[in-house]
Amino acid sequence: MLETCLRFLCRLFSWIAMAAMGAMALHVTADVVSKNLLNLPLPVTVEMTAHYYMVAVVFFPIAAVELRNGHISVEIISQYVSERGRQLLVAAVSLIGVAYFAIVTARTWGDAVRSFDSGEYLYGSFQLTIWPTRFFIPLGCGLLTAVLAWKAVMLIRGRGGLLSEGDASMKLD
Amino acid sequence: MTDLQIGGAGIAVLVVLLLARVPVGIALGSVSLVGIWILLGSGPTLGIITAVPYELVAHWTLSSVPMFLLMGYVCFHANLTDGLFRVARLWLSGLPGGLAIASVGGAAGFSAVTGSSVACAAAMGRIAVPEMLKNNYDKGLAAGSVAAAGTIGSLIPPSILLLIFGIFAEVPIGKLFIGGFLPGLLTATMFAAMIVLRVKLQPSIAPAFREEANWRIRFAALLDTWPVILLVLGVFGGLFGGLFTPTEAGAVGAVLSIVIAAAKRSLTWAKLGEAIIEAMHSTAAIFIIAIGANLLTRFLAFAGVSDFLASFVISEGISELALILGISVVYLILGMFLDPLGIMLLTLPIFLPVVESLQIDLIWFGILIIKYLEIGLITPPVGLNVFVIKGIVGDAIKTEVIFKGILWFVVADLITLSLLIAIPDIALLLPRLLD
Repeated sequence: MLETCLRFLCRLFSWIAMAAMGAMALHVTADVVSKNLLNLPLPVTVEMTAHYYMVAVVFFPIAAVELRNGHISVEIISQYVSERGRQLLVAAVSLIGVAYFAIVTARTWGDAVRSFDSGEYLYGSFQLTIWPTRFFIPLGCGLLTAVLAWKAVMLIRGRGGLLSEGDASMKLD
Repeated sequence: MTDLQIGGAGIAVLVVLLLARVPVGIALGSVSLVGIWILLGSGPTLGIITAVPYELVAHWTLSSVPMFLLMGYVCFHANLTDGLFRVARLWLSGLPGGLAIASVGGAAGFSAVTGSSVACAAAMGRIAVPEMLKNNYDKGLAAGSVAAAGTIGSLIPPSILLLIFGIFAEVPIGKLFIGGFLPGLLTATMFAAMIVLRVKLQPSIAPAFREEANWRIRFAALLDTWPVILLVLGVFGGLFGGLFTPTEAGAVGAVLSIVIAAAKRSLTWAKLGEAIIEAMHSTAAIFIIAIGANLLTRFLAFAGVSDFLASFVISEGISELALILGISVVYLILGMFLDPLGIMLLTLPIFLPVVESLQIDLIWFGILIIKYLEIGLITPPVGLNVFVIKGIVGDAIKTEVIFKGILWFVVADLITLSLLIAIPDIALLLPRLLD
C-alpha cells in the first residue's frame, strides 16, 4: 500500500517535470524565433524558465531518480562487500539522506508558506506570481525523504532487488 | 579547534562518507551544513539551507543544462547520428586501423550534438564495435578505441561539463565552448595517430580492409549525415552568429533535434519520452550535487580553507606550472575512482580560489579540468566509459581486455594534456577571436 502510493507519487511528479521540460524547450525557442523574426520577445520567458520550469525539472524527479538508483555515488568499497552487507550499508547511508532532506523539506516548506502568505511575485512589465514554485522544493524533497526512509527499511528487511532497479537504463552523465 | 582545523576535519569526514557510498550530493550537503553549524551556529545554517536550493536552481543560465542534455538524448534515441560512422568508414578505411580511426572520427562528429562523453561512447559503441569485431580487429583495440573516443564528447561543444564549469567559475559559456573545439580535435588526431602507429607496429591487431567505394559513394554518404550537419549549423551558427545566447542555444537545439528527428521519421513518442526522462533524471542528479557543492564552497570559505590555500600558494612562491602539475596529479588520481561531475564540483570550491589568486586563465584551466576528467572516464578501476562499452559488448570482451586496450589511448591523452599545458593557445586561440 505504502509502496504503491510512493511509486504513484514518483510517477505523478515525473509527469509534472516532463511537462516542465517540454514547456521550457518550447517557450525559450518560441521566444528566440519571435524575437528574431518579429522583433517581439515573448513575455516572462526568463522568469518562467528560472522560477517555474527549472525548479520543477530539478525537484519533481528527485524521488524517482532515487528509485532508479540514479543519484551518483562512489562504488569503490561497496562493490567488494557481500550482497547482504551492501543492503545494510545502503540502508545506513540512506538514513543520512533522510536527515539531510528532512531538514531541507522542513525549512523550504516554512519558506513556501511564508511566500504564500505574502503572495510573492516578481516585479516587471508583467507581474509573475512565484509563490507556487516555492512549494516545488518541499514537495520533491519530502517525497525523496519518504522514499529514502522506506527504502532503508525495505533493505534492512532484505529486499535487495531495490538496488538493481534502473540498471536496465544506461547510466549516462 | 580553530576554524581551519574544522574545515580540514570536514574534508576528511567528507572523504569517509563518499567512500561509504553516501550519494555525492548528500555527502557534500550534510558535511557542509554540520560544518557551518559548528562555525556559525544554527541561525545562519538554517538560513542558508532555506535559501540555497531555490536560489541556485531558479536560474536562467542554468536552464541550458537540461536543454543540452535533451538535445543529446534525442539524437541518441532517434539515431540521428548513425550516418556518421558510415561516412567516417568510407573516408578513412584505407588507413591502417581504418575502422578504429573511423570510430574516433564518428565520435568527434557525435560530440558536436551531445555534451556527454558517456552518451558519445554508447552511440558509437553500439555501431562501431560489432563492425570491428566482424573484421577480426583485436578486441582491446576495438572496445578501447570507442571508449576512449567517447571522451571527445565533453570537449567538442556542446559540453555539459564545460557548461557547469562555466557557471560555477563565472566564465562566459560561449568562449568555453569554442575553446574546447581545438583541444577536442587535437585529442581525436592524437588517437588516430596512435592507432596508425600501433597497427604499423603490429599489423595483426587490425587486418587490412578496404571499403569498395568510389568518390560518388563517399560524397553521397556525406549527404546522409544531413541531420547532424543541420543541427550543428543551426545551433552553433545561431549561437556564434548572435541570433541567440548560449543559454537559449540549448532549448533551440533540443527543439531543432526533435523537429529533424520527426522529419527523418526516426522519432516515436516512446523515444521522445525516453529522451525527456533521461535528460530530466540527469538534470536532477546533477543539481543535487550542485546544491551540495554550493554549500561546500560556503563552508570552506567560512572555515578559511580557501583563503589559507590561496595564501599558501602565494607565500610559498609556488609557480603556475607547479600548481597545475600538482592539480593534475590530484585529478588523475581522483579520476580513477570518482565520476567526472562529482570530482569537478567537489574540487572547484578548493581549487578555484587558488587558481584565481595566481591569475591563471580560467578558460584554459576549465579545458584542462575537462581533459583530466575525461582521462578519469577511461582509467581503472572505475572508468564509466569502459563500463558502458562493456554493457554493449556483453560477454564478448572482458573488462580487463578493454582497460588494456585503452592504456595506449591514455598515453596519447597524456601527450595531448602536456601539449595543452605547454601551449595554452590551443585552448585560447579561438576564444580570443570572439573578442
